[in-house]
Amino acid sequence: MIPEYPSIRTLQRLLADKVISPRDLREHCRQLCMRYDARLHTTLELFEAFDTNSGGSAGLLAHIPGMIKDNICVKGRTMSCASRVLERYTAVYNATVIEKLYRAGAIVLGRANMDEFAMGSSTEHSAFGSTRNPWNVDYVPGGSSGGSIAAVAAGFVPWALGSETGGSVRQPAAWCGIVGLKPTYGLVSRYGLTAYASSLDQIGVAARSVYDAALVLSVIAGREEPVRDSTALLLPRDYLLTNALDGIMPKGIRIGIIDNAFNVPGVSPEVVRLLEDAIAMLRSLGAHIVPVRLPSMDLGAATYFVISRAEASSNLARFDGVRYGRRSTHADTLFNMYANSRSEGFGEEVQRRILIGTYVLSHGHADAYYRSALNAQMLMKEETRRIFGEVDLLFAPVSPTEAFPLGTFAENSLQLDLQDYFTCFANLVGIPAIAIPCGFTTRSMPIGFQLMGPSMSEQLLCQVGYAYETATPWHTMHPQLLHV
Amino acid sequence: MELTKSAIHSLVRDARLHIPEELLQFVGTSVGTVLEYVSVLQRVPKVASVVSEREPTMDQHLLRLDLTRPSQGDVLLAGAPMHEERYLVVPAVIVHETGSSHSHIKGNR
Repeated sequence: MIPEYPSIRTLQRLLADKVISPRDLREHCRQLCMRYDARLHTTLELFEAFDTNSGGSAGLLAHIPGMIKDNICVKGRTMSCASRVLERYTAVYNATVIEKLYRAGAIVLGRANMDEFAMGSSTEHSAFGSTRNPWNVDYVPGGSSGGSIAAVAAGFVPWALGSETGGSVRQPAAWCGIVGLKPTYGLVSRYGLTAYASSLDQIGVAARSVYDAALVLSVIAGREEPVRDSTALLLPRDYLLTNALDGIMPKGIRIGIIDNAFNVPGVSPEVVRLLEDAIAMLRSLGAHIVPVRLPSMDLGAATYFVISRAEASSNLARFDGVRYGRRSTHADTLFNMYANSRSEGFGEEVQRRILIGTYVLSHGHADAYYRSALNAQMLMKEETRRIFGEVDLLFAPVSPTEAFPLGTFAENSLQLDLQDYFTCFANLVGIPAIAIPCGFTTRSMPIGFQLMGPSMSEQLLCQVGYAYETATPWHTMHPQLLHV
Repeated sequence: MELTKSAIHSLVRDARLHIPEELLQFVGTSVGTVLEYVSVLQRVPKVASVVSEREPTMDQHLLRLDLTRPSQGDVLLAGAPMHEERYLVVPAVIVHETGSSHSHIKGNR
């Protein structure tokens, strides 16, 4: 018998004691997904056959199934990026993270839904339909990794991979009541991840507990040999974030509360109240709470807007009907073949971002616009470096509000961008961050807070997160989906 | 500033798209947002170099990893007592690079 919402450790114990077989576990997860996913649409494809390299009996994730965001290459499988452009594209190689997961014995159960090309904050912009929040199916799960996160929150799988450019793992994790971990830029290889804004993109982890997230990140961290992502870091062979997780707050730790983040217009009072409760808990566990100001955080949304659109327009130029994906069949000139292929394939949100990026990078504007954004980004990095001389971690909201009902921003997509206000800072600076559940609003929707740390401080983030989690009940609360 | 219709058409062509009329209107309004954001960004004082010399290079990252095996820095050592003595003195390169030795954090056990 497999319990509902099991942790990876529980599953490993059941497998080791031969209470369940690897096949039982795999079929159990597949059955859950087949039975309940019609209400959520977390999954674009459930795999039936599994790669012979996966599910080995040795390794940190032996036989443990998980879901992969559909912008990560799994050899021989479709990788659509939730776009019509790539709906018939079959990946010809494995992403580095997939190779590492296979070596650790993990099972890749399927492809998770997402906003098209990871552009969105609600998973309403998938070409194959919206994903819904398991806590209330009339609400969005957040995005762009909404499929991965909702699948974990719903209990289909214990872990999933998403990707972050401006908060696409942490924001849906907070809105679905699970843990979302965004690593330091370069800790995880991006080889095999479809680029959106390459200087910000990073693969992240979703799990129902800090421990499980730390375990999965330990598996996927580090670069490949030979090197295929030059920004990825070489890590020690025994890199294991769970080693230091004992549930005790590190002594003397100073957590900076970003004062200005709480005064941003639009932050819900209910969110503030829940965050204040979380701060009180961290203090009671022994953390020194220090109010700090991080004025450059207020530049994040503008900087992110300019840089992400510019890089998106450049990265998505390759999808022109020649080399990859969809090619329009009705075109009389070469230009029309390009333009028709792109216009027929890309959804509206992607086209909007390409257009803005093209404008930002256009002749006469690039220097004024793009370089201003890079300058602001550098200021943010400098300020962050300074502040980490005063405190060890930073505490901030993940999102100004709880999840919203589907269609809320259908007429105003620019407003939806403000959901990234607090999360995009870590992406712009390249630092790690973790979103941790910290309670529920009066509408019974989950809320999370985030901790950010200096580069390569994942272990400290996980230690503090685990200490908080051990002292609070939020990670043990799950949606009632499996009982309906 | 509003973009003229011909400027919008030229932008759409540069992006190699054919788009419907309602999206053309979106381009016009988005330019306003871009300009609003850019005006905020242009008020930011010039930072010495857009590519900072203080940004850790890959070599520095690797050096840091070598110095702090098996984990990633003195700050991460809480809870790893068997290696603690190796980290009591933080190498100058890390102090210089991060601006902090984080030496106030001690292991738990």
